[in-house]
Amino acid sequence: MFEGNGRGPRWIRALILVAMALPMASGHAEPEGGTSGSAAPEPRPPQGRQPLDFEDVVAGAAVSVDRLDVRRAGQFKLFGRADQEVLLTFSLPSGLAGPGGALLPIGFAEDDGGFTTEHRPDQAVGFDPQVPYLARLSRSGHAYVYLGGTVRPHLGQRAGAYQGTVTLTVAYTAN
Amino acid sequence: MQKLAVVLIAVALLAYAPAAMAQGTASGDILAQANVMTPIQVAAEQDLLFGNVIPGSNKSIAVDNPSAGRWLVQGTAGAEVDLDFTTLPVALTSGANSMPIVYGATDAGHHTSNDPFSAVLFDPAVSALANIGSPAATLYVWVGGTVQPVLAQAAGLYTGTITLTATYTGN
Repeated sequence: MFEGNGRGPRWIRALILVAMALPMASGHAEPEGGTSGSAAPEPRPPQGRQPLDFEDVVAGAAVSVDRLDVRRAGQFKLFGRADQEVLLTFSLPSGLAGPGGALLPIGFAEDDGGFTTEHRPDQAVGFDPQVPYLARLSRSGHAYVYLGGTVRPHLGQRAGAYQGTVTLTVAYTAN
Repeated sequence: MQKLAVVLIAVALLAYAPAAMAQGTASGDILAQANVMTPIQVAAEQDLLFGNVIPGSNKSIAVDNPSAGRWLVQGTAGAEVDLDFTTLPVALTSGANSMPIVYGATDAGHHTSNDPFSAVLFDPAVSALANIGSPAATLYVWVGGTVQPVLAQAAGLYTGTITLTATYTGN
């Protein structure tokens, strides 16, 4: 059964070849623009294209920006492998920082996130940005994410410019 | 030899596993931003005073008359506001008596400084858009009008209330 030739039986050599071949056979390719030589490439960072801009708000009056608002909704562009499934996770602020350490409360509703493989906000599928969301990149490895939200300045809110950072983390899944 | 085979199988599985579970993360940021505007304050600075009037003789007060009514609007410098006389009486009253008051198309005015002679005139019956001054963050608004006492107008002090409402337009 075993055929010796001084370097181990054939089936063992075959197994070694299979072991070497498996990672290559998994079909992984580099993400667009990637520079890593790893067999398990890192996703390319999402590109922040547009801030979530509430513009001028008045103390005591809540203001919402719809994710469909082309001019004011936050926008990201995703780059990656074709048809890759990705897990999107937002890091969302609960307040925007303003003058003298003042905080402007900000909140996000269940439909304030939007995902689409084309740059068409009106075609985006809504999702809750407060929980991780599974999506799939386009055949060209692209996708767009939109974000709306609501700020709630209280009556005594200090006047001035307020800012906060929204971070979108993209993770490749095994699919 | 069998142990070697087991080891090699394990190596093969390990080599495969990272590819099957291939995961990585990457993050990108955007800003969320808002500008909280200074709340609008509308202060009544001067009443519209017709002084003594004679029955049967109309009396008008123009915007640039020192007796014109005046408000000071303060808010975010440069912001556009809608000026609306939300209460504009058609008559002044003295007890049970009333005296008609009317307004012309140029009986209201606004300017960023207290200079009624340079005011932009508008019809107080129609709202107007104006910008709060910059950097002073002030806007002055005046109102005049004409009272029309009839010949049989009863003597007395006639009063009414005019209310100016200023609202940010967002521009």
